[in-house]
Amino acid sequence: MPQTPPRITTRAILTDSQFLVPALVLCLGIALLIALH
Amino acid sequence: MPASSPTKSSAISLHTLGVICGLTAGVWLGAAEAPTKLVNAGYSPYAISLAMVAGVFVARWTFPTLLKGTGYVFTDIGERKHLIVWALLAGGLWAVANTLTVFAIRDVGLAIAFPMWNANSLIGLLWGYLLFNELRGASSGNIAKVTLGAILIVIAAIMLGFSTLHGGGQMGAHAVRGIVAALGASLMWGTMYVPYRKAYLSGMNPLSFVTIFTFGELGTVLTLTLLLDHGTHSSAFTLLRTPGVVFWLFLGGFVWVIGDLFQQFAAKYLGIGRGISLSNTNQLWGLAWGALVFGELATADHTHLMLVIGGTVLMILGAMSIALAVASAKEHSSTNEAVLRECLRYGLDYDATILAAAGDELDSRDKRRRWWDYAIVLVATAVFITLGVRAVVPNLVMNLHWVSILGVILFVSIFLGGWALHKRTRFS
Repeated sequence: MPQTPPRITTRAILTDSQFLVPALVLCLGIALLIALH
Repeated sequence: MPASSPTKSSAISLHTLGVICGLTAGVWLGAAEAPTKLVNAGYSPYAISLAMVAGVFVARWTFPTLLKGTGYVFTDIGERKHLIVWALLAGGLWAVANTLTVFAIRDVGLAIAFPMWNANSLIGLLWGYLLFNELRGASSGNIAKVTLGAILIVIAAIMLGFSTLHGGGQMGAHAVRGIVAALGASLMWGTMYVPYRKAYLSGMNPLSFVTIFTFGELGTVLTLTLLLDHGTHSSAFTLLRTPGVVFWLFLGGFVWVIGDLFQQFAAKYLGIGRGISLSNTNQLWGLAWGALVFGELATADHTHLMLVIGGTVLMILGAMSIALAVASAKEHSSTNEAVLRECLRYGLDYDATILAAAGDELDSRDKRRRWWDYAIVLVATAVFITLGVRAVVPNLVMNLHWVSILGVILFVSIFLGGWALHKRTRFS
């Protein structure tokens, strides 16, 4: 019987430091762009 | 990840393949920045960025579509759906950074700005160590090479920054703003490799990642343009309706996407600490295009030139020192732990992921090219041809002799890089 792949939850992504770091840096970059604008 | 010794009849190790990809990426990424010189023609940074990203988006669907058909790519994405958000995030980071670089180029010039944002290798090293176990278990010799390289790159960035401040003339007027923009781009582009590395530790194919990535960057640049550049009255939309000019930026996007594909393969096979450094040799090629083709350093004084040349040489030495630190078996073991983390967190098959991360795939994924793959390639190519036949040579002083020489180097590098990738991994 084929195995059902595990469900990837939003929580798993949002609590992943490898997601939080680039997400925060993106926010910082947008803020810098607005400041330089 | 398996050690870098070859497992096929090919004599190319994964380390050598990664180095070839990194250097090829450098040649192409360096050339891609040249068209942003058009910012002096009166268009806003957002307009330049949007046109270039539109070129990247269309270029992704030209010949790269034939390397792996859409069936293969979308199956790959479907098996690792959670990475879609990371690819979109990476596209957003790239887009913000690219817009910042256009500000930087406008304020301090390509030859100066380029090396400054190439300090992103330091950011990549930090994230590689903290988030992906890179350099964990490395020999003291390797750690020394990487540390020395990082220090050299910092010194080089400082030298190039001072050369800007003391340069005088038009580059001095908004130098601080240009430096801040270049350093911001450095942070963005150093962090952009976090999603790259995550995808490749999960066994995703770079072509699949780039597919989603291009949607992220196009969406971000379009949003930034609408929000920060006079909405629908932005000069971006005027530019996009000016085929004589927009072709050159599309061409820049085309060149960039090739460079980025090689960069993605370098990140996959070397890790981000080493991969970024190698692809950062694009600084050399960016300087070559800026100085030899556009004559950017023609009026620079002796001190300014010495700082630029010294900074450039130090930056390259630093990058090479990092690149020569070949990962040991113990370091590969740390990488495998990072792969295991991904597999446990996101329910991936460990053995299959380890193989895919090393360019070997056991599954019988559909690799055929369908009729629509060819149709997509034809349409995307037609866009370039349509713009190309209406292109007007920009009103900039360019040395065509150097354009020819650097053009030949581009073609030789893509041939060698493509051959190595095909021979070792069949572009996996």
